[in-house]
Amino acid sequence: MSKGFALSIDALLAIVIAAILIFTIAFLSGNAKESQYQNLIMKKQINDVLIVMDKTGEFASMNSTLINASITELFPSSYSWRLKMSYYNYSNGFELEDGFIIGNNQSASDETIESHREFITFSNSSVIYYGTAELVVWLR
Amino acid sequence: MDKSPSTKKGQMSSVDFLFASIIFVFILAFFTGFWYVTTGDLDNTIKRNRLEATAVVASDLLIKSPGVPSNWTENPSTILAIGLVSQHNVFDKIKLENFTSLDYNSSSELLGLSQSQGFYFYIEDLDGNRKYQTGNSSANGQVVFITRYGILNGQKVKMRLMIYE
Repeated sequence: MSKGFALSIDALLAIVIAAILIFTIAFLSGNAKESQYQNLIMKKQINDVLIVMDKTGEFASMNSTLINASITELFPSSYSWRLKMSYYNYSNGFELEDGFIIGNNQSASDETIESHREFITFSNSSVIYYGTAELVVWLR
Repeated sequence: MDKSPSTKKGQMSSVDFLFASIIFVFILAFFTGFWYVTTGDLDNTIKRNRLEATAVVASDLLIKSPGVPSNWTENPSTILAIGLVSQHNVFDKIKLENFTSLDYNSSSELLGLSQSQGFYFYIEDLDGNRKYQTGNSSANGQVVFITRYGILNGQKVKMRLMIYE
């Protein structure tokens, strides 16, 4: 009786150790299968979009409809995004003059990638606004 | 037919042994299968990661750098590093024309690809019309696509680079 009990404990212990080993290997190999570069690629694409929209003058236009349409046109449909634009003027320090937020609503569970860009808007060679654009992107 | 106690004990052990052997063989078969599937998957992941790393570096080179020397189009034989832009994300038409007219092996070498890797490159407008393209689009193995955004002649364009093994 006592011998049988001792053997059951041994078997139970062996099964527990084997199960832990299997689940650890399965978990680690599952993680290793994820792309290491997906986030980096998304980050580079966000930076590209910010640069392009700055250089085409769309940020300076302060037109939220135009900016919304442009970003929607550039990003693949699998991306959700949110853009916060802020326009400041400078007299006695920076003062927020205008701004808007466009794009999708994000939930707390979304794993987001974000980037921002500072820009200046000109008129007749003089600075009108100092602006910032903060773009957040996540996969649907 | 009087059997000794030791003979009976031996019979019992054989059943135990058979039972244990069957369980052991099942566990061994499971681990072997699991090992082959996992190592196969990991091998594919390693290959894909290597391709993605190459694609990121090559696309950065093309869209961020004017090349070395920056006026390499004047004498393409002196080119040390490829680059297709006049400034960040603004494509230079002359550089695009020169790059797409280079032979495949030279382009591949300039992109930093290994002998086993191939590429296909194109630039298209937002309606999907291809403006420039070069490389070989017929791939058999693993393929990685990277899309970057730039400006060509004042218009927004997509640069797509396909790297494969």
